[in-house]
Amino acid sequence: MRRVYFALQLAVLGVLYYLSGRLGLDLQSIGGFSTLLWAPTGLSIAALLLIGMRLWPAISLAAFAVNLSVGAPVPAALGIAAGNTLEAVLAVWMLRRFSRFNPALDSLHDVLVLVVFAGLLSTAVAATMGVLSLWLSGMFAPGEAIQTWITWWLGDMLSALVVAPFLLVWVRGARPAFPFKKRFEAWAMSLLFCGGTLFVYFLELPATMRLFPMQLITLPFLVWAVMRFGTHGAVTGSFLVSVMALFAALRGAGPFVLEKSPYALWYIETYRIIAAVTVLVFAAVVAERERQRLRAQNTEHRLRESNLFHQSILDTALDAIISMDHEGKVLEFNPAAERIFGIECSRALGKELASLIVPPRLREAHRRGLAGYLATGQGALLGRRTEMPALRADGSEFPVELSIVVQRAPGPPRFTGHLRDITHAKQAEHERNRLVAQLEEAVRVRDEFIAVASHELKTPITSLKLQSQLLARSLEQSGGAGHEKLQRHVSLSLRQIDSLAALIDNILDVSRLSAGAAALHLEDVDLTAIIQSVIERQSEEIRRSGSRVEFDSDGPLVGCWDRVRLEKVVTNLLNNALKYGSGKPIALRSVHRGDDLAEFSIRDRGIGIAKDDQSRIFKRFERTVPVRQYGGFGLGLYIVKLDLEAHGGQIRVDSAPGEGATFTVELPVHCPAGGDI
Amino acid sequence: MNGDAPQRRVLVVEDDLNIRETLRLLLETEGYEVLTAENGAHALQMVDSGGRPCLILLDLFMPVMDGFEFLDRLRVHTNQKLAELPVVLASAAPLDVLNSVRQPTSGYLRKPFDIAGILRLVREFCK
Repeated sequence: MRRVYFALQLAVLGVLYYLSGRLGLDLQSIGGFSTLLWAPTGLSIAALLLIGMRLWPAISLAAFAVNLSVGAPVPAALGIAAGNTLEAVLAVWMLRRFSRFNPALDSLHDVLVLVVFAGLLSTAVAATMGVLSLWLSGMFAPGEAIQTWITWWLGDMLSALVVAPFLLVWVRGARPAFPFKKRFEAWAMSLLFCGGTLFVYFLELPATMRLFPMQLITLPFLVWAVMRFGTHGAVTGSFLVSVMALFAALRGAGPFVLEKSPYALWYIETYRIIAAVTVLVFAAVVAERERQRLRAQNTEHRLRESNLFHQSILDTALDAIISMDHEGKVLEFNPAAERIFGIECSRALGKELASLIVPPRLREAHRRGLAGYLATGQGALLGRRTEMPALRADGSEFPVELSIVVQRAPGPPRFTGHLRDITHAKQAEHERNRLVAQLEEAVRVRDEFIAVASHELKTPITSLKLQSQLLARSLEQSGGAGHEKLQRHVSLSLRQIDSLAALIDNILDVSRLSAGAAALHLEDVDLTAIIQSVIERQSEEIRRSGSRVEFDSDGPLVGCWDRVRLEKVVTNLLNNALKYGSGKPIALRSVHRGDDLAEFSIRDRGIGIAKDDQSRIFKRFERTVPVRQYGGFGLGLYIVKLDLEAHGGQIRVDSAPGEGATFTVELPVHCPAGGDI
Repeated sequence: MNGDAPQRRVLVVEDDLNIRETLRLLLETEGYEVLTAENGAHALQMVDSGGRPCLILLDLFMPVMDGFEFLDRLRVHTNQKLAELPVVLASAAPLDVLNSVRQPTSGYLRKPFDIAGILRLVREFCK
């Protein structure tokens, strides 16, 4: 497919080259000289530039065929074909090799390299090889060689600078999207141009006027084309001049058939070359100017937007934004600054900032700081947030938070500061600190009161309990007969004494634990031994509840814990089970969980806890059963949880209503980092 | 009872008269000799002058000399045998206060204690 496409490209180029070449050579017979319009040079340069060097065989073949067809001997035709091929290849190679050539021709650089490489240099090669081939074949007398060479060279140059640009720009140039009116103008101008040119060409001028450079009539049109239509106008105008010249020549009229003298032809061609180069340069300069203008316009537009944006920031900022120059004079004083300092912008501008908003005692330091920065480039306040006192117009001082940046644009530095009035924040902070201190004091007093009160309460309770127990013992020892009722009463009051004591303990513990006041006393403790001793110590309660308590363990379970707290945890959990699972079996279990954890669980067969209640029972004053049925404040599990959390442990419950409850405790075995032992 | 038979002698250090006397009544009924002191200073005198007890039940918070100071002084006593006397704390103080006692002790009874607990403890130390 690609081969077919390539062959098609070759064929089209070859045919076009051949036809335009034949046209050019046929005109020779009319003009009697070398070509008036040798399109193939421009065509081949444009084709190689736009499509690719690989098309060169089409040029060679077509050039050979054209020359052969007009009667040139084979060797001469071969030489000419080689010259023409080399011309296009060389031009394109040089344009690519020595410059970053852009076929749009909208910059001076592109125009100049086209003129030098394609227009002047490569065409000289073709002319030289062509003339040499003809001369070797004896096609003209040696005396005519130079004349022929110049004619050949100028013809090719004209083509390279008229035909090639026309093709390049229309194919590669940014296609202008002209509105209808402008398109109309383009057509009207073209018609006027062609008509005017033809009119002049066909005007029968008296012989004395023959030397008058009538072709200058094209100039105003070319200027018009460039000014209004840029590069496209330029190449099209140039091209039209050549077409008109061709047309006139075909009719045997116009300035190109003045005399059958090569010099006249050179004169005309030189004029057309100069005109072509001029309009190309002109158009390129105009295009560059236009791009520059657009860039400047764009920059100005962005600058204006940026200014508006900055102004809107300054105007709407909630903080004061103030700029000063290297002498400390105010350059910018935004509305927030006016409001905060009570100074109008118009009165602030140009004044020394220090004397406006800095309290008198700090002004010297401010000035020294500025002088220091200008001398060393170091400023203590730069690039950080600072708090300092500021001065209002009415002489009152207030605290501001401040940050300053330096603009080190060319010229002396400029300083911009953001200042925030933090009067309210300061007051709020002060008030907050006062309230926190007040609260802390209140909590301390409360805790102290609870500690003293509970301690004081326990003394009489201790005495009361001892007395009651002694009474109970006496009744027992006295034989018991007739005292059963009395014994029951004493036993009841003893239980109430215990409840009272437990309550006081709980209140004190909660107050201390929730305040975080109680420190852990960590040492190596055997959990299994603790559980055993608690069961022993609670034997009276166990007996009273009628529950059978079983303990199962996998041996000593030593960890870094607070013995007293752990005893408390086990006691609370056991009492809990006795309370809610009274009369039913209770199973305790302690096991190792890997190297790092100890697990202790206690299972009762009591009333159980509903799913919804399970997360609540570890909270303060939470209980899931009616108060009248089971005494106590519901502080026990809360204390257990606080104690375990202090150890880095946790507790969970697994239960369903009517099926009892299993509390499982997990405790890390190792001492926490930084803990005391 | 005499000083050479300390097995049945208990020193109760307690500022509350009711508790002190109840404990005396209880322990004497059980056949122990009971010495009582109302503060640490008094207890030190008792230890020095009276017979050596098999156990000291010590309250912590007392006027004149508290339990902490008594313990500090007892544990550096010139008489090695007295310095090593077993002491059980008998206090209403919170657990972490009990834990904060630096000197070695043989256990604690938290107030309000019960008779069974006391007797178990005393039997353990005074065989």
